[in-house]
Amino acid sequence: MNISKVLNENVEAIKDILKGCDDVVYRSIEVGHDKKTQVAIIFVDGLTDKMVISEYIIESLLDAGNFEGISIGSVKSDASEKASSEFIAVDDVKKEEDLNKVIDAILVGETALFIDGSDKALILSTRGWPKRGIQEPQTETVVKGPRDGFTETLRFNTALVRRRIRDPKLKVKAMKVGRRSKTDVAVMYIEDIANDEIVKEVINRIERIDIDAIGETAFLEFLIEDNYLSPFPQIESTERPDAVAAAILEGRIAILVDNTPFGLMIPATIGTFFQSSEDYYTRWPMASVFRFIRIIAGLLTLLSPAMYIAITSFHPGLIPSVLTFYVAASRINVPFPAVIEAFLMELTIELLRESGTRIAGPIGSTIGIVGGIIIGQAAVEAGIVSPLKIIITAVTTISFFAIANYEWATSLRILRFVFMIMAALFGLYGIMLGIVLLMVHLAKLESFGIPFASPLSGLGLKEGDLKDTIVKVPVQKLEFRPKFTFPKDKIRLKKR
Amino acid sequence: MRRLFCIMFIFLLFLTTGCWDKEEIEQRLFVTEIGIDVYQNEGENNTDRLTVTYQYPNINAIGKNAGSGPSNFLLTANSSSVFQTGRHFMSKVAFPFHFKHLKVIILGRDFLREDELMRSVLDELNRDTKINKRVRILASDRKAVEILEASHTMEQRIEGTIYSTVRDNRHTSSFTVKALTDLITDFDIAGVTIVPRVTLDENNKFMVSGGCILKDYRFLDWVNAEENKIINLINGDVALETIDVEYNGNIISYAITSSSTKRNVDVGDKITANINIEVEGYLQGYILNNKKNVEDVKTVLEMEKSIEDEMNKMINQTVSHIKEIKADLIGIGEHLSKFHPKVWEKIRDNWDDIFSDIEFNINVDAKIRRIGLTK
Amino acid sequence: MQRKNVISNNQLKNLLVTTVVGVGILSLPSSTAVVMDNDGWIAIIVSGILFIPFILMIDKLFKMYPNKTIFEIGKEVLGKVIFTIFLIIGQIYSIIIIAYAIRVFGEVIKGYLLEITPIEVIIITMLLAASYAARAEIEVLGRIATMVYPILLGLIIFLVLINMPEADYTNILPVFNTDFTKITRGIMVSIFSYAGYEIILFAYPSSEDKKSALKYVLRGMFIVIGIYVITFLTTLSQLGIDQLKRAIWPTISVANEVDLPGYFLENLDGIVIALWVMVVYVTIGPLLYIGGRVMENIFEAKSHDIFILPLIPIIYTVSLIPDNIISVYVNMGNILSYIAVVAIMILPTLVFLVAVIKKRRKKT
Repeated sequence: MNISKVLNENVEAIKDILKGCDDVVYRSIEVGHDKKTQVAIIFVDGLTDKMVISEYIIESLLDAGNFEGISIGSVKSDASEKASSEFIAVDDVKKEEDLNKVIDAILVGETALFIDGSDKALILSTRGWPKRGIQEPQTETVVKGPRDGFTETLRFNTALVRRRIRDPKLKVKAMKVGRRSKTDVAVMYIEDIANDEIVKEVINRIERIDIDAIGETAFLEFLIEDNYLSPFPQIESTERPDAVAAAILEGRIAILVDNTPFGLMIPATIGTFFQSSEDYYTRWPMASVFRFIRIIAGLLTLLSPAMYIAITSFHPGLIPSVLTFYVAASRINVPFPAVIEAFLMELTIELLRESGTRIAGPIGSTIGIVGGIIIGQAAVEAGIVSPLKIIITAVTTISFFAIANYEWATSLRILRFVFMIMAALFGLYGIMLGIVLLMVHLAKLESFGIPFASPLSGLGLKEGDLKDTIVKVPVQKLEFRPKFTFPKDKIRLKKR
Repeated sequence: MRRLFCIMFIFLLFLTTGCWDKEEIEQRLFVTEIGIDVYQNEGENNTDRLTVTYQYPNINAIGKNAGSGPSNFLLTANSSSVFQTGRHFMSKVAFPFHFKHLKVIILGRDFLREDELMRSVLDELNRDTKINKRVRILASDRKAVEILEASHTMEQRIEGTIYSTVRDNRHTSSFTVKALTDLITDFDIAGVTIVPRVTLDENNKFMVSGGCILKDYRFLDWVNAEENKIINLINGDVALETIDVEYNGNIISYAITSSSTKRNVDVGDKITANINIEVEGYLQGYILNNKKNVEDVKTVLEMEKSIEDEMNKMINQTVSHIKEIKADLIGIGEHLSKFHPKVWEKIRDNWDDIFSDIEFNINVDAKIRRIGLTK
Repeated sequence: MQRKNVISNNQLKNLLVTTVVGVGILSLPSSTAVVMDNDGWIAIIVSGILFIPFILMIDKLFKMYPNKTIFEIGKEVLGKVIFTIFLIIGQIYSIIIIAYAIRVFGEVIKGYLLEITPIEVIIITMLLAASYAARAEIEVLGRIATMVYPILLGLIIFLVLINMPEADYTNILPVFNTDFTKITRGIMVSIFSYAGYEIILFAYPSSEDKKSALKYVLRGMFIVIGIYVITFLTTLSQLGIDQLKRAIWPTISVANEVDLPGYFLENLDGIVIALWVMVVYVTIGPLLYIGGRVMENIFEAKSHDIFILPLIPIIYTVSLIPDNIISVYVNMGNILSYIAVVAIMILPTLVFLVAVIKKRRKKT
């Protein structure tokens, strides 16, 4: 809908569309040395930076002594042009002819300036809203490394990434997703590294989304990933800008979404899920050991209760004799069979964890202590659960927290129950069937056409992708970018 | 999607029928030692021919909250085969038996003389999928059940004191540790094997010393600890044994730390076996006499000579003995089968007689490497 | 970035190795030792090498008709009718070999892990699990193989390591003591452990670098031969020749013989069997896939996955036909050796020969 040259018509039209939105402010000013020209600014209270509006817009308009407006009928130079180039002291000014777009801009936090007699409105950048300062990311902390995390403002987040890659080839493609939410989405990649086909595919999939609102990157993730039925995430998400920057430098593509501090990185493989930022800031032998420990932690959190069930109920012959007798001795007079015991303890731990997450602060940590010490200890004292099972549950839970990526760890945690059922039915055979089915599923999974199980399953083995997955080799050896992103520029580090 | 549900449905069917092999660990009885005796069957239809004794640990007596009670229980019954006995006990005990942790099998004196029984019991043990084939076999000079009765309450270790004693030859060579597979392999190749002898001493405690020679699946002879040491020495299985010999009017103590044997058989018209044994050790004890210090290499060499002479004597004695009883315990037959297979094929059926006629050249080379802290 | 139906040569090699090494590895040392005593490993090597000409032939065949699948080549060379007969023979072979493998697998699991669980349950669960992999495309099979390949090698190394303390390597002697006329019987016994190599017929066209595919396939074949020989030597040195001849599954028996309480190593047969479940899975999965593809071409369907589930009851029934474990090895094994020779050796050779003749005729 076009803007008319009559100021009142425009203002009335907007008032009509935004009826009931009492947080929209309409301010009329008379400007010009003869105070003849009418000007109206419209903005949303709360989304805008009041200081910019008062000091830079209104004040400069009021001071605009030489402003010769145009009375209806006169065809001199376009007033909005003049106003924008000579009078408005705001950093970013855009011209707009479509009333709907003007409304969109107002709702984002910009201020619309209408001049009587001009059919173009000025959109002044005045965005400012209550926001969180830069904090250390809650879910991924490192001991040594940067402590800034993303916030809910998209522009800050892209800035945090830009600070780390000052390359003109770092592209930020802005998109809007969501019919009603019109959320800003930024797709970032380095043009001469990232593979063109993948970039095109990512943008394609985002454009194809037709949904009311995008609340978080999670929505985006679930709508564009290859297999939404799988329990495993096929896109990696992170709160850390240094992780995003590193990913972009590997040839991956990052997606940042307004209103959430989590960014996405595409494509993702098993290898990437076991990497943590800290690996790159620590010396390589230690980093390799930690990687290894993470893998073991993953296996432990997945399989320990299931192995406990398999060994105590089905195959006590599989452990050395001394251990067998100790285990048997610790289980005397426990009323539950091992399967029930295992399920009970695991469910209890899940309950504790859930309640601990819901309640933050001191109460939350108290629950941890209450749960761990009192329930666990009391259960053993009462003879309901064997002490060995408590240890296994504790090991499982601690391993869960040792895994680098939260989503991945959560998937493993849930699969743990599936494995327990398999073990309860068929013992060790059931566990092995479960492992093998899991492997097949991971082999089938693809992330934007890249096999998910790389580099373990073949893609990139020759190129040495393994050098950065299971172990971490010294930086000097990581000459090439990983193959799974199919980068255009392969060389990272030139050997001297 | 529909297929997913189909598959899941089939899978869920299994949940309804139950888990077949599930049995809690504390509801199993793990037999750790078995004793086998002969049962003189007077009944007409009874196929029982063995008296079998199971020993299994008392779970209540293990661990932090150990209660009182004997550390092991014993159960004895007559039956036709070793594993069958477990079924006889089912009316007396609450839980089924499992043999995965069987460690020791004791063969009673009378059982050793029945080769048919031995063959069938060995086959039963060999065929079983569960038991660890490194079960240690012991021979007893009395009934097996007596040994078990005397020892079962005294076992301090979870895995059994008898087992810990016969686990390996690392600390003593007065007997030769024999596992089930080695036993069977010995019978296959040479027809003869040696098994540790377990007996009761004056205080009714069990004692493992010396060995029992089995030939063609039945008892042949006992050997005492000394002779057993020599046999082990010839086979190169000695560690930390001490030999006392006379030298220069005193007894010197020589401790062996390692030994190795090289066998060499000349096959011509007559078969000659050359056995070269190299022994290394240190001087454990001499005499505290300032005139008799070990000052020069000559003394050491002389001491070595005395040791070698004594060892030669002992070895020749033992070899004559085993030649007499026609028991190839020193691996000559095995050597021939591997290194001179054509000759072995010709003579293996007559091996007993041929073995008695073999000429042996024993050569011992003893070295005293260290003499302790003083001269 | 879609790379459908492309399999790297490394994945091809891993697929070959993991598909071939399956249930045969358990009984192979024993069956060759029975025929050839201590020289059984010679029979193993010779029968492995026997497959090399066939591999070269297959490579040539695919180079003659680049970018065509074996089905297209067969139809073109032999005509639809004859080739369909070939396919039916191939399908019968597929069904029997999967039935055999899964029956042996079930017997082993029942013997060592789950004594009371009915073997039908074990067979059905394994077949259903294998169908999940079989319904995928060849590149997924390649990926699975690459993931399991290091586990397979690890298993073999594990077997060698645990046997080292107690093994007597002189048990391998005497060598070259056997009558060499027995070698034909030895080959007949061991040749069928290499069944499964026919997976390359279906994977070759998808290779991303067809020129050097042959190198990798040959490498894979040598690795299989190496694995079998090492297994033979390890079991022989641990068990001795007489016990080896008596044992039905010597590869697992050696794990039963480890007892080093000082090092906390006892009762390792559990680990060996657990890892071996994976090895069998990556054998049965691709074989089932082949079954599906062959059916797809007999009935000229669009894809192979709809045929996988119906195959399962057929295989299940066939696998339960033999009454006992002896019958499985003697009867089924015998029939299988003959059908295997026909299906995986003679048939591809015929296709190749007719193709060569046709090409020659075209030239003249």
